[in-house]
Amino acid sequence: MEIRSTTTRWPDVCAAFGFGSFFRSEPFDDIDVLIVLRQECQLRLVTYYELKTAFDNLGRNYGVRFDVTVLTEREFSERPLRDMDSLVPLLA
Amino acid sequence: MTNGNNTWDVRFSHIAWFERLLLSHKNLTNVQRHDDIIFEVDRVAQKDHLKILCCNEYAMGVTLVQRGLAEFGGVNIFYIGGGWCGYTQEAKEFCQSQNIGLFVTDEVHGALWKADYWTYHRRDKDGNPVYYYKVA
Repeated sequence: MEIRSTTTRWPDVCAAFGFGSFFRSEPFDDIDVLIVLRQECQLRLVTYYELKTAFDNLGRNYGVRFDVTVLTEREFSERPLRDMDSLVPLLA
Repeated sequence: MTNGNNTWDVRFSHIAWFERLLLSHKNLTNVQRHDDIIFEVDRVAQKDHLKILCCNEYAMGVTLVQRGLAEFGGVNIFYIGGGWCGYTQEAKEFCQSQNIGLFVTDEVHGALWKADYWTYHRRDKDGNPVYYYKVA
């Protein structure tokens, strides 16, 4: 729930997904999160750093590392992850 | 080479492996490392100087390229690792438009021989360009 709420604070985040071993309920070293930014996002890097800071803080609170991948809408449409068919929607 | 740390989550073993690649490259001399993941090299044939960011990204997008440029400035080449690593088409196109190389392991050695290194690509058996785009 807290992972989901972390992704909702930025208007330029148009979708967010979980993937990887944590979301498959398997042993995990980190938690993989995919964030999709609107193509027209003007402050892409600022948004990236804010998201990274938010997930770093969340990770510190829970003692786990978040690995956050940030893609644009165009990049996401290219289906760049092996796990595209098993993404867990957090915000979509 | 000290074992420092970096905010890109690049492991020392990956950095050390890449440094060995650079040190053994016949077109490179004066290989230096700073900020843990930045390499500065001189090229023999071209008599130029390149700044290379060594990262390890499963899916290198344009946002991370922009992060690298913002944090280190004047990066000539992004080396993103091998194996499952790849880049998005948008990131590759952005880099090419800026004369920046964006390469996986299978590409970077050859690119370092090429004067216009950012245009380097491998070819398939029919001579068509091969790019390491990430696609599921």
